Amino acid sequence: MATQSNLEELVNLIEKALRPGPLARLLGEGSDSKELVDLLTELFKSDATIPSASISGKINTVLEILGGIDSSPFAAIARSNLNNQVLITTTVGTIKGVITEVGNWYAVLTEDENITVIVNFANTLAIESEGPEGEAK
Amino acid sequence: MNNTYASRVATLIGQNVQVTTSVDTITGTLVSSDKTFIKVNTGGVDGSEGSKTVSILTSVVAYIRVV
Repeated sequence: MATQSNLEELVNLIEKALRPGPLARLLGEGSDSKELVDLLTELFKSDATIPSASISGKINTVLEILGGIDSSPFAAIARSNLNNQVLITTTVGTIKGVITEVGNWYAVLTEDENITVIVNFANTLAIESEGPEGEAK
Repeated sequence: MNNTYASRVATLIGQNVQVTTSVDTITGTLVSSDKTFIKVNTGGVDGSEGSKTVSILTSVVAYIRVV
């Protein structure tokens, strides 16, 4: 029995060595941290002891620790305001709406009348949110 | 650096969009999007008379509104 268990462990080790794990795949060349963020969100959501308001903070911490992912400093701020109404100031003007999605270099906002806007963080100057940073509305 | 923005914009290909830059706003059908250019077909049905394709540097786009 013990021999069989050791054999299974060995097979698992070989499989892991031959097949890149999820993190290696996510952090590989051309990776997009959105997939990683989605993965972490699901992971943290499964832990009922973590308040939903602090999930985005934990995700930001993990991303900072992992490093190496090229993203705008606005991505972390936007992520902590997911599903909140914000005012984003760009080089062209301001956009007011609810943040529905965040990527490394963009945020998707839903304006009044359900109009979708994709904001480029490369030309973003400021993000203004209501209330203390990261507070769930 | 902005490839993730371009990739997200690419999901809107075929839709009517307003591309806003610091100089102008271009309205039309999104044709393509990559890290260098976002291309919009303006002024009519693709291939018809008066139809133009505008290539906009992705790096100068502030935001895109789906209209």
